[in-house]
Amino acid sequence: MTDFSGRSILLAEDEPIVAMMVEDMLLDLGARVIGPAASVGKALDLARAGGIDAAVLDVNLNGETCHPIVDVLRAAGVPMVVATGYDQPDLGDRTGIELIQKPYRREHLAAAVERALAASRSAKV
Amino acid sequence: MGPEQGLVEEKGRLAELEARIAALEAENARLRGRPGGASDAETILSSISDGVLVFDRDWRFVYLNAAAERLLGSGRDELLGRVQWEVYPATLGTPVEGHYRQVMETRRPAAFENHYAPWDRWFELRIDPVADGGIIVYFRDVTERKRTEERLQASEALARARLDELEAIYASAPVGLCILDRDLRYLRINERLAETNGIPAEAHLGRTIRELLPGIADEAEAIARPILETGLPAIDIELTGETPARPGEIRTWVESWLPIRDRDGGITGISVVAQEVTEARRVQAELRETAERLTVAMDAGRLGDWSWDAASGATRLSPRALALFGVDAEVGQSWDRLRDFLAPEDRAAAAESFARALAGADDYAAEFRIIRPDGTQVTVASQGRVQRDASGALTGMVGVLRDVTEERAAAAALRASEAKLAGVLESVSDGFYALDSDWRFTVFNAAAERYFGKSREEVLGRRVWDVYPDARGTIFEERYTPVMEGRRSITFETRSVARPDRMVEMRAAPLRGGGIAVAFTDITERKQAEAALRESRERLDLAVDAHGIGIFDWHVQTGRVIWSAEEERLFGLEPGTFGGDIDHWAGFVLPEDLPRMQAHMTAAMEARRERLDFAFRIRRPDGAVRHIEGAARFLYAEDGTPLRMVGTNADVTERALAEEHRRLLVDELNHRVKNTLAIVQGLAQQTFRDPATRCERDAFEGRLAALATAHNVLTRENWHSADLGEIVRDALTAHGAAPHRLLLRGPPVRLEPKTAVTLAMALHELGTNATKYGALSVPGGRVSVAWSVAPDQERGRTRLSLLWTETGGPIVAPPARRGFGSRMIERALAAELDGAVRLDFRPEGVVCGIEARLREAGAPVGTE
Repeated sequence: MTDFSGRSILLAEDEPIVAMMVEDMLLDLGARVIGPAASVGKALDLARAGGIDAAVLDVNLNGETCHPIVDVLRAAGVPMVVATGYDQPDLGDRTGIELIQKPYRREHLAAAVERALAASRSAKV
Repeated sequence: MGPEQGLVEEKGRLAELEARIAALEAENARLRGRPGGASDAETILSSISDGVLVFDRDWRFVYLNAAAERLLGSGRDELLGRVQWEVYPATLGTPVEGHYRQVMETRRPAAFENHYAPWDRWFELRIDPVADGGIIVYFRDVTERKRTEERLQASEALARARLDELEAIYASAPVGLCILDRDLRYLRINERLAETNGIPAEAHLGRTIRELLPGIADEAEAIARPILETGLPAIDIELTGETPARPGEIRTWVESWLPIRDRDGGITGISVVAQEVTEARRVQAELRETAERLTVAMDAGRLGDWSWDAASGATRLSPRALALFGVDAEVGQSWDRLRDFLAPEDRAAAAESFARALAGADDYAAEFRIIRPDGTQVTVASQGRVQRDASGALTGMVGVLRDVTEERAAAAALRASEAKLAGVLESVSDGFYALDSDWRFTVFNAAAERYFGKSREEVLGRRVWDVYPDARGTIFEERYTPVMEGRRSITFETRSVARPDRMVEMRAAPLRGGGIAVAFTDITERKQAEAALRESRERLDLAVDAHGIGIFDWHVQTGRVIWSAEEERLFGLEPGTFGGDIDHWAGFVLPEDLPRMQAHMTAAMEARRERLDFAFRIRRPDGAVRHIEGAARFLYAEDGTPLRMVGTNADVTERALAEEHRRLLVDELNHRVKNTLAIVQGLAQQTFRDPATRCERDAFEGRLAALATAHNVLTRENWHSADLGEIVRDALTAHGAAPHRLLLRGPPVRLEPKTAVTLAMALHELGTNATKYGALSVPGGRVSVAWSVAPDQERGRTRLSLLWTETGGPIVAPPARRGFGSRMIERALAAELDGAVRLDFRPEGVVCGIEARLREAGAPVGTE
């Protein structure tokens, strides 16, 4: 069983019911949830505040793309998972980002966050 | 997304049309390039031995025929395009300029003769206006004729001189001569007669014979009376009497009294010739001879004279006649010697004519070549007239010799050139015939014989309307008549009268001296080719117009590119403004598309591919981005060097944008559907928070996930169809089973979306059961899914057999109650698949057999 104990994970999701569910999943996995943020602006504030180990972002927040958040987190070296309902979400030229198709179960989420963390670690080595 | 089917067919048709046009154009070029075909007009003009010049409005030479080149001593390359007044400034201010300008201005024909001083040559010119505003000049060198005329004038002067001579002879002749009026008054008398009469000549004038010579007056009046009454001369009458000169001496004269007539035939007087019989007979004969000779000479025109005396057989030649023979006077005294200078083969004819003249024909005419002692040769025409005395006895012959060398040479040259022309006419592939002014065939060449299937013996001398009565009243008569009358050339195309299935191009030109020359070419094939070409061009234009298809032709080695106007339009260029090279094209292609497109073309050429389909985007000069699709054909040299890339482009921007728009819509729809599924999932999670309901929540989440997964597969396939293998794999891997525990085997099978979702849900239920109770619930258990397809009896359907087999699991006990899973599998799936589903809870493992009849889903789109 994956255990994210002690890790702070930023959650950006504009749909309240989905946000609650994902928050539960992350809590079940032992993580501390930052957010959830329902807008790009709020998410950016939280991201810039720092203290984030990983992030789970919805690709689209109230009609705005998650690109600015991705850019800020990338600059900060924070691993992330982008959740999407699109087959191929538009992320511009942002490559190498862990994607997860909605709807997803807790196991899928855990695996995706693990992969993102692992990729981040290997990039830092 | 590949090109639409219709567009592909259209491109194929275009390529075919292009190939056909190329073939037709080659054929056309072959027809036009055929020997004789291009120089038809010239064939006619060349057949006229006159020089022909054509000037345009600006006095530039636009045409001259071979004869003109020869006469002017200048070739076409020197004259064409140059201005008459610059080339021949000596003609300025001469009649040439005057007449030329007059015809150019009045558009009325003119004809005149001109002496061209720089060459000292005479030309006869005829000028006609030409329809396009210029003039056509027919001319020929008439210098020889002018010179002949000059000689004739000289010879007239000679005749006058002879007359003067005669006057002198009259005056001083050793024979008495006088002219009397009707009253026998002396009007004129020569010295000899005056002497004979013993009275000064002046004293005679105005006085009668009776007044002056009463001794012979009675006799004289007796002779004169009938002459004045009847007009009949008194020839060789003997007159005797006494004259004051020698009184008492009776002298005898032979006299001829001849009436003198005025213009109206009235007798105004008498001419008397008197000669003493003893002495004067020779003088008299000589005088007659001289008169005869002069007459013949006048008849013949001129030149050397001769006489032959029958009694002695001696000949006498004038100095000029001697010069013709190239001999001296001594040789000239004997015909036997002169005859040796005649060309041997001409002697017999001359002798024969001479004999005929002596035998009664009186007139002698012969033509022979004289080979002079110095070896030079002249051709001479000899004419003579037999001389007889009063009794009719032959006395000799007088005649003239005329040098006809030049005339004969000219005639021979003319015959030779005619023969040469005839040879040319025979050898040309065009048919050629000529008609005289009475419409009779005078020339009919070999090609005409072949074409009409008639020999020249059949047609020559016959009128064209008799040979081809059907041509009467047709375009032929209509067009030929003005040529015959109006003296102008025409060209027309028509159906052959002799061969109604053939088309001919006729060119008719008037001939100098009357009649017309007609050259013709069979243009049936050419017309057919032209019609086919026109038709195919129209079809191509139609196709291009209808579809907005541009055509390009890239010459790979030079980089030169040719674009059709439509291609320029596609690229937003004004017609004719394309730069014409490959770099200009590359400048239009979007930078993100250009390297791919260039690599695409390079790879095709390296692989020697014949055809290539491609797509790229361009930015037009106005900034608009357009999507271009096209197809091309490559042409290679024998060694494989790529030579040309020829093809078509079409603007597919609207379609591409519509496609893009559709994709965005589908993406958005998928996103929303999945978001909704995620919300449902979240609701379920919040609803079943009680740990007692954990089991139900998991089951629900699993089913929701299975639905979402099937949905994902369909999304990737644009909701068109899904692959069975993918559905099976996704359904099983969702349960987290290790790959080595799954055995999936079967051919590719496409499923309709609804079928795919139902099957995915059923497989999820099987997988859930296997994970909870079956083979996947213990280590070592395995699941095998095997399927196969076979054609169904019904068209458009396929039979699918799928078998789910679990092995290595715990002993299976049939469930006490059929839950959602079993019902999903046995009912929903069976209904959806239009088949049978058998779910068998065997102790050694669950087996599920599915027999389905599938509607064939179409091939997925966009998988190329």
